[in-house]
Amino acid sequence: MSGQGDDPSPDSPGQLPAGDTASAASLERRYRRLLAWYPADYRSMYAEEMLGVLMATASAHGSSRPGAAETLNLIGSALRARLRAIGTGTDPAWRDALAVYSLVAPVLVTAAIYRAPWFLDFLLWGQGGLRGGIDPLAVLHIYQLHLPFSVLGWIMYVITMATPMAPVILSLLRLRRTAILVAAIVLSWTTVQASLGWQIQASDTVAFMALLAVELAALIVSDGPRRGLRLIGWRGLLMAVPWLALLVLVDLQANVGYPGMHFNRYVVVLALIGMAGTLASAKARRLLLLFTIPASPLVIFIQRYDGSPDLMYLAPAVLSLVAFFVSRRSRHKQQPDHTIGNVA
Amino acid sequence: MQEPTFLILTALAAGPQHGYGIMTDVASISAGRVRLRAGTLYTALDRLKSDGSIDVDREEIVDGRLRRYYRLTPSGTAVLSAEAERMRHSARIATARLRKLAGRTVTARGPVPRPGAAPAGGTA
Repeated sequence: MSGQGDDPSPDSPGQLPAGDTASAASLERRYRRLLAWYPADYRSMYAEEMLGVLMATASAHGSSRPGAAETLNLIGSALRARLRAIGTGTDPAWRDALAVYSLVAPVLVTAAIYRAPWFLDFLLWGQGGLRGGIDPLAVLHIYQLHLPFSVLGWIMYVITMATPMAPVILSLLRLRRTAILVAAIVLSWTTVQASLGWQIQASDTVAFMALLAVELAALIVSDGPRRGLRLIGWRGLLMAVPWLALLVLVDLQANVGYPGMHFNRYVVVLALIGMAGTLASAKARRLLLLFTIPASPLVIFIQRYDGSPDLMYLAPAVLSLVAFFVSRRSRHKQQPDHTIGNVA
Repeated sequence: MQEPTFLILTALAAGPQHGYGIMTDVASISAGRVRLRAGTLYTALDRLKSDGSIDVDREEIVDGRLRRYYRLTPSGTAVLSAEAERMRHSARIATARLRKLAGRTVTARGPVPRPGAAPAGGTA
């Protein structure tokens, strides 16, 4: 066998210095505790084997306890194994739905930041804020008018607007691990902000954090925005634009109270039914349902406008479930499923 | 392909090996530059097994501990072969370009003076 190097022979791993059985037992216990971080399936497959390797390595280096680097390596690998187990154990329909979500949710997060009242106030720092009935188009106008007085606001604007989109851009550039790391940092920071009682980047704290959490899960579990883009296709994106635009308008009407807009929830429901009827094809229906996942946070706003706060956070879950079942059914019916366009 | 994966497959190209054997072999192949930790090794082995690049060859119990030997599958051999060819191709290009660069540098500086000859310009 090749590759013996300076370490002891692989034919005799696990031999600690004689008379040191208590120390060996203690070391083994510590390693077993670290191996407990791995998923059960993984443990049953590799734990005993890994223990042999760990004990042999410790013997070679004369270690009596796991080093910091070894500990971090084991815990990190265990967490990766757990995440991978979630990913591989997930129904492909969920993974595809989440792939679409991972692409589109950041756009909605950005929209949520944009419409947060505190943020609009911040931009108008020194100008008395703008709440209390505003023309949303005036926001753009005010950016220009008060630029000299809100340079800090502009810097904040660019950073906060760019941050949620960073995981998508990184994923599209094939930097998936970095994208996951960035998404985790954004979620952690938002959690810290919320727990300290600071104002976060959106008015609906729970909905916003749920969005970020699902985005992180979607990046980990699914094949990410690249797959999402392939599933939707450019034509699909173009078809979704009017629907999303409508929801944004409703959101503005509900939250900013621009009097010039007369949309209400009935209009939205009719528009959705009309759109589904007009696009009466399997492709259109699947697209529509897939888009209900990322669009669901905006349904929260509609619910709030409707004055039903108890149902606020139920809507995304229900819509996601519907999308999941329909997507799974389509997959079972139509094989192979490479893109939505191909299976319609 | 990441370097640890390449080195693990290279280690197994010598024949079936168990985890600790792979670790020491990888350190040897990389002249001590890459030292795999157990977590990293088994993450890679698990992935390679899922990909079908490696398979379990046999199991033994030595000193009361399980020792599992892994071997390269035909698919793994093809993957390693393709990666080695890719690296060889890149190395060939890099070598050729470096040779050209060295040639250009010599030309820019002028011919290399022969030993004992007075340097151009006359002052030493």
